[in-house]
Amino acid sequence: MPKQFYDPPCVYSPVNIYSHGVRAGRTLTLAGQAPLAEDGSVIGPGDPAAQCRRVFADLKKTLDLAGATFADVVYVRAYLTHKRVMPELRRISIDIFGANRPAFTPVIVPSVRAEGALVEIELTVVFDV
Amino acid sequence: MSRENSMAKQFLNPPALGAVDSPYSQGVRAGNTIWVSAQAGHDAQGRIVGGEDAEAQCHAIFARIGAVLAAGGARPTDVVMVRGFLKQRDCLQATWKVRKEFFGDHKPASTTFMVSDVEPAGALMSFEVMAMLD
Repeated sequence: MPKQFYDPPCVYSPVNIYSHGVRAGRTLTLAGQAPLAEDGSVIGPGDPAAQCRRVFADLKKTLDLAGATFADVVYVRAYLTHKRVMPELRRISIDIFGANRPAFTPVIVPSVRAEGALVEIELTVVFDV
Repeated sequence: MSRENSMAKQFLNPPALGAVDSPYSQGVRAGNTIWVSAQAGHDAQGRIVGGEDAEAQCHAIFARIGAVLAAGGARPTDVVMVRGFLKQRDCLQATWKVRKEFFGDHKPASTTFMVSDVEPAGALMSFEVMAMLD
């Protein structure tokens, strides 16, 4: 079965070596999404709420392209630069996921790729038959 | 369609792990794949087990992982991937010992990272696994 590759036009990539989403069979894997403007600059420096909102807005663009929704997400991996980002992430997750309750792994790291980004999030989606 | 083949998600939140007041589940099963959320070495009330004893925390972690797998109808031998997140490199030996006990001769793929912090306070490490049932 051929893989499908998704790259929403308004979502920044620092380098043209990866896709924002890849579907193989029923599974859609999204690349880590940081809170970046279209020019690659970091949105909302020092503002975890603004950064989380931006991350989920851009993840939605890839999901939309692939015909998926946040209700289809089975697993979230969030890279955070400090544990104090967690409460904001939980708050926005309640709104974003609604009745869905994906599996979740937080990873607290010294930095993500984009300097000043406090958060970067990967999603895994499984489509219902 | 049998439950095993259904693509509707199952949320895995075994009561023994404690109440879940969170937008996330301890694990999710979709079809024959199970994603287990990262587990730290705490009890059902959120208290770290074993203080600063890496082996004790790791043992508690894999007991929790085992419970989530069982809730999804899986066993340690169904695990294909393990990711470990450690605050200190010197915890590694203790984790190898616990993992050998948990998995026996079964050898999933694995990646271990050193990270700058782990939730909750007092946690030295966390582990996640992914399992695929036959």
